[in-house]
Amino acid sequence: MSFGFNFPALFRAHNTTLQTGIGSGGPFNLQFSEGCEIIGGSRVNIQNNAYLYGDIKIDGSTGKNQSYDIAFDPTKLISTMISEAWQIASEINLTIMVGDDAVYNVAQDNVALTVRQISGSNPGNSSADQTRVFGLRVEVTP
Amino acid sequence: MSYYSRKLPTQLIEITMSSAQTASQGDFVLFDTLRATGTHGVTINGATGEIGLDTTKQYSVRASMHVERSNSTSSYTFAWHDSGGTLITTADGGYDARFEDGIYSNSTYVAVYQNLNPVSAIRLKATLLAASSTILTATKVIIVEVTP
Repeated sequence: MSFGFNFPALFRAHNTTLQTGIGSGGPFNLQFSEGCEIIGGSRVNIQNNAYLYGDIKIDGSTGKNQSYDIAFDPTKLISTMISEAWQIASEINLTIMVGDDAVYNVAQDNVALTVRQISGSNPGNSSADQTRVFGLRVEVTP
Repeated sequence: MSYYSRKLPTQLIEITMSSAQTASQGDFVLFDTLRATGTHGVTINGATGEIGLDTTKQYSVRASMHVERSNSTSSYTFAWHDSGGTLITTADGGYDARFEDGIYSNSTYVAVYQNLNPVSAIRLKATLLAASSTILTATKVIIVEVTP
């Protein structure tokens, strides 16, 4: 098996406006893209296979729920593996900061970054300040 | 948009710091060590923190930040700037790493620069950081370089 990269290999997409009222199961919206197309306001058209990396930042307004379990929602998985990432409130008492709470996946066709679970007492009221999707388009030759 | 299958030469580059850096708001991260899988177009300047890029290639640059805050209730932001010191916006492929201390926010821990038409050099600047904090050596930049 060999691997190559389809052209354009790199693509990215992000939101340009604050997205409010994100509920469980809902997608994170995207408005800007480079090297790919956005379908239906939230899905990135990979066309074929891609290695994906996504991240979000939730608006810090008082009283809004801020903890999301996010994952990619691809139309096709290359394998059954899918990664999730908890986006948790940042206040801690330690000084040393480590960690990467982004989500990674390998998928086909098209994909959205979505909410799998919400934790907290005020679900559906949070706002996504930043939604980021990056990808590397991969060709797999058996 | 059309896509077509073509094998594209690709290199992986890792950029790190040989020692921890004491830093405050406005300082650049001074990377001084580079490892790569083969011939590539990336350079570093340990004195200025500048990461040189080959504008004929395409890059995905990811900086994973490890920071020791001098104040345990402070926030920080690291953002990509060009060689002239201008902030690279998200429209131009610059995404910050922003830790926001507070119970109603989460954070982005990785600063990304990705553009199909890259600038010739980028620098990672602490646009928000408590004075005399420490950027730890676990901070790493991983670059995927694609020759289109």
